[in-house]
Amino acid sequence: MALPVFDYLAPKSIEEACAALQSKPDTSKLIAGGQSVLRVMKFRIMAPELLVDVKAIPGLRYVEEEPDVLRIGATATQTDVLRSEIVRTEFPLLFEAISRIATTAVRNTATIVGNICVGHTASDPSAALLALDAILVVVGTTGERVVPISEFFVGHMTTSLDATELVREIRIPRRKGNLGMAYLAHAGRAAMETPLVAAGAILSVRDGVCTGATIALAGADETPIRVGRAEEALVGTRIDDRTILQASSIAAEDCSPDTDVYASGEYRRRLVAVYVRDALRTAASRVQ
Amino acid sequence: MRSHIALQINGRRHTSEIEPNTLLLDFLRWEVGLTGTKEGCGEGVCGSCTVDVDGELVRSCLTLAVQVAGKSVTTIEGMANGEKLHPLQRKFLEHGAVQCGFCSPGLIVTANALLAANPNPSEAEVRDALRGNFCRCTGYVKIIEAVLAAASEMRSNAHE
Repeated sequence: MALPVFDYLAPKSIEEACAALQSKPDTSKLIAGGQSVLRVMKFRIMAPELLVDVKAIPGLRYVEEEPDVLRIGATATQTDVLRSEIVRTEFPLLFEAISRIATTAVRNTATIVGNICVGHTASDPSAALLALDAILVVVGTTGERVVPISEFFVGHMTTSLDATELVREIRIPRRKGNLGMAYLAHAGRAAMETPLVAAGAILSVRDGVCTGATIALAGADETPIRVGRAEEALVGTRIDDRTILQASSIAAEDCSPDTDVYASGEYRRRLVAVYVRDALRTAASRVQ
Repeated sequence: MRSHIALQINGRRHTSEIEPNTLLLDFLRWEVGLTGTKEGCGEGVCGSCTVDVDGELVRSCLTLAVQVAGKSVTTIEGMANGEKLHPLQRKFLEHGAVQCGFCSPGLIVTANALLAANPNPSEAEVRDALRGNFCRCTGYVKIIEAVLAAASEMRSNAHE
């Protein structure tokens, strides 16, 4: 399958990248790994005149821990994130979400930042980062701004990024206290599938009582979402099967999944109840 | 806007003038003449086009040739040592893991990366490593057996 014709630029700095985007705001496209963009270009869904490849910009490929935050650079690959010890031990939800994406050969090239910038509702990293209250550092020609990920996804395949902006870094706050987290996804077959529905859950517990609950969903609405009413239903309760099932039904009520060739919206809604239940059970079993 | 690129392919240096929209897959097959790397789905799912770039697996159907300038690419043609087949290639033949053979280059390159990182994988680890390589003939059982047998032989060779 051939690609359409385009010009290619591999800038050496963020400023150069933003200037290139500004020179053709309607007909240029940013890529990092290109694993989503090149694919849709083959289908002629997108045919930019200029591809701006940020992979060659030095200093953006890192996964670094600081006392309060984990920082992931724009060109860190999904494999880089999986190899990070702190991701494995402190953010198992993120580890589980990324390790189920495609396969090694894709993850070696694909980036986390690129994945979330596609804006797909069934993006595993997007739901995981939404659960983890990630913050995005966005750079444009006029400077830098900080965007909570809860304000990043605005619609079907649409983010709040301007055509001349790029995400320079993802910041994930480190959490303390007794907590457990989990990410579970439903795919038709085990391999190489975008999930029909996925759920990420984080539970904080003190003296047997839930002090904080987070539930993020992929594939359950027009964008990845949090289900606030289900989260609130858990806080202040003892986490047991009754409260978990209650929260799962609220999550299923409060989402609005699409119907497509892979599944009906109603089927996805039922899956939400199942996967929220199982993610909460797994998170509860991991509380420490 | 043609770009000049220089890269290593199976240990040999190649230089070329290419269009930016040239895929690594097509560069290997049509410019260099290495047709062992196959195009299956063309969208990164089936794994037939998998090659090794600087020790990491990539999908050559979703990689631009300009993106591998200055790098070192290993394809299925770089696996054998002259006439002597790589243990993975030999075990694929011995175990009947090759039927139509279309998926074999991608599978062998992928399995080779697994064994480089993990010389003694469990069956589950082999299955996970190969989950992005589709075979429509064999049902995978013989492929898994072949990879495990090659791993075992490569471990004993390493100890000699």
